[in-house]
Amino acid sequence: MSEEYRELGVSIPIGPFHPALKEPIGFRIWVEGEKIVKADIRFGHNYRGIELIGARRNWIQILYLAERICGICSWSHQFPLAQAIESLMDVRPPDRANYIRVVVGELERIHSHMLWLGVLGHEIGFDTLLHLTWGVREKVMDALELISGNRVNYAMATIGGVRRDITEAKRDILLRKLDDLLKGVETLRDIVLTHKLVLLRTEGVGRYDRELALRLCLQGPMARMCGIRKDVRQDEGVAAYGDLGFRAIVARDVVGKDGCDAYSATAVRVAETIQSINLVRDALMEMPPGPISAFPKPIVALTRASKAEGEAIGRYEAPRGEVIHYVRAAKSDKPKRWKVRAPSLINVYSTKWVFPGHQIADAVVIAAQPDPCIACTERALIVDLDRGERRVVDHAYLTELSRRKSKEVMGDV
Amino acid sequence: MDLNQLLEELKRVSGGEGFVQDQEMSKTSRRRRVWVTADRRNFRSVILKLVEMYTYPQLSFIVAQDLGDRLQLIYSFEVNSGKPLEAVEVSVKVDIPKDDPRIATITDMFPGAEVYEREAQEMIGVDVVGLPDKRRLLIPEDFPEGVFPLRLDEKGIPPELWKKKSPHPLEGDGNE
Amino acid sequence: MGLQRFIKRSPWVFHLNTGGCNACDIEILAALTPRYDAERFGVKLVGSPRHADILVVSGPMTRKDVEKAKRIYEQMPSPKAVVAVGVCTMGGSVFHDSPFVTAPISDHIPVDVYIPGCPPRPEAILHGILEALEKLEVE
Ligand code: SF4
Repeated sequence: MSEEYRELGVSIPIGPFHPALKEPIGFRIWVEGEKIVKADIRFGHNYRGIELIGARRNWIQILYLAERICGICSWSHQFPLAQAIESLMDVRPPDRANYIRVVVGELERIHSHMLWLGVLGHEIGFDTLLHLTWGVREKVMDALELISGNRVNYAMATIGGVRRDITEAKRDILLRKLDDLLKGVETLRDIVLTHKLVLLRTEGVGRYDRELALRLCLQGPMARMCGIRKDVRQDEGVAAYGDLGFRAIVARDVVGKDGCDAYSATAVRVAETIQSINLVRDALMEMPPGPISAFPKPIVALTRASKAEGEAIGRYEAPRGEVIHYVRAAKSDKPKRWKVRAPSLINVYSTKWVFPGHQIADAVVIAAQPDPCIACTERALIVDLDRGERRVVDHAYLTELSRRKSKEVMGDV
Repeated sequence: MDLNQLLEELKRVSGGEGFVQDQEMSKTSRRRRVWVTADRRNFRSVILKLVEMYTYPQLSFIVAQDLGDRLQLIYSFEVNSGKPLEAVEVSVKVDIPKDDPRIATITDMFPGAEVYEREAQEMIGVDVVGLPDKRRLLIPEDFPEGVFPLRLDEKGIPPELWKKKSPHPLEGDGNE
Repeated sequence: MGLQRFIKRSPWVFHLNTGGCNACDIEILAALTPRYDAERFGVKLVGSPRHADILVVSGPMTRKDVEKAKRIYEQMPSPKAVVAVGVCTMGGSVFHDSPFVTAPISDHIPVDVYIPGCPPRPEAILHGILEALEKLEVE
């Protein structure tokens, strides 16, 4: 393909994508024949300078900016930031707010994991799965809409609590929805974890090992698929997770062994989805009465925050791993420095160490494994060392390759 | 280990200052943070000390910031990860003078730090010595060389690059 | 009556994200999947601008994406329409003062339909695409 295509191919999002990162990514892969020998990851297509403009917003405005770092993890960025600001001011949110935080966070996790499962299905040519998961996902979106009034970007977190209450009536509807949802997800689990195609295309693909995962400091499901029982919800007990006695799931709890591969990653995510549904139910049942925010109005929170000084870190386990926000304040209505660490930054970067040795047809599966933004993986530059030629292929071509392989392996069985 | 004990241990190695944040978050959980300052020459031994005390502390992130008269990197680690309700976030602050912004890499201890160090490098213009890959990570290639977006001095974003008057100006921004 | 309008032409859509937060993008995708089922109007997502009638753009147009977006627009065969999804495309939304974004996108490519919202609902996106279709019919 021509040089022209290379430039055009840069960031053409095709099909389902979903970004966990602040920025999309490009993968550059060097191959010898069919084998990948080297990979390079490039970020930056969506660089919007969020941290830069964040220093020009006040404490309340910045919450909504944080929400728009990523539309899929909107809660997962807003919440740790709210936590960091709470830590600065040393306020403790009321218990009811903590429980509502769990409900929203877990609903978001369900929809994010469902999305990922659909993407995986699409990548390996199992489009039925894509439509099935999106069907299930709509139920979660309904639940989120019921709670917050919006499907995505719910604007629920605020300094010192949450912005909307879950009333008795809403709670009953939610509980009914959850039963429905659980049935759907359990069916999906049975399909995904035993389907021949999924097994053939994911087992042994994108294999890390425990040591590597620890040394690279992988996050979230990527660590848990390697048997590292690490989860901020468990380790720090943010919001009401500690009160609910939350424990993280690793791959061996689900499939009996820590495969450290795409199959384990799938297993962990599917099991977490079911765990999340149960968590939401628990949180709804055990929710104590009381106020939903430590401050009567946002403006009060803003005034208090403007008097704060010092540094603080807020942490939360997003669907993709630990999100960390750092803020530094100096008695002003604006943060002096706001730093965001998205888990995908390291999770995606780590694929650099894992690509070599795999077939090109598996590239999309490896790229999708950390649950990155597919919008960005759609472009890959292939350098064929054998023939000394440079080819740029786009995501459509790679997916096509992957699908062809799926057909072949299915033909074998 | 008690937080204050941990702080004392780290202070002994670094010879710097530090403090402990221990706040209640909910009925059962607490937010535990340990902050310690270190020198450019000995911050690696502080990190080594952490590695020694806890198997596999997890690197959370590296904050790069401009403090006006100097630059600062904050290396933040999670220790006790995997133990329910016991995690502690240990942050090691290292000051770097602006006229000689060099600092040693930690990629030999934490290969995953590469991505954070590359980010720090392009954002505030520190020079990470020993970093294998020095290319830009996030900023577009056509962005002028020598401009570091998060610097607050003349090396930061010049006024003409700000697209328009911002309704939220910052002192000394050039776009007020 | 109304239905004939859609049957006459089946719009193929090319989707371009120029740096938004992707909430818009998942809503566009949601519009295509079973609940909203855009395919009943013949709306189909294609992988190349050369096959597309309608360009669906989201995001505040980051610097890196400007040239790319222009080239993609030029590649599309006429008649063509551009649908801009989300307030990002109109003025940058929360990113408006960042030196790295160049919103509004109408500075770079002509836009026919704007769909406001942050993000707009899938129904709104469907409606927008059908509006754009009307433009194609008139031409
Ligand atoms: S309009 Fe809003 S939801 Fe859409 S991409 Fe922009 S910030 Fe995200």
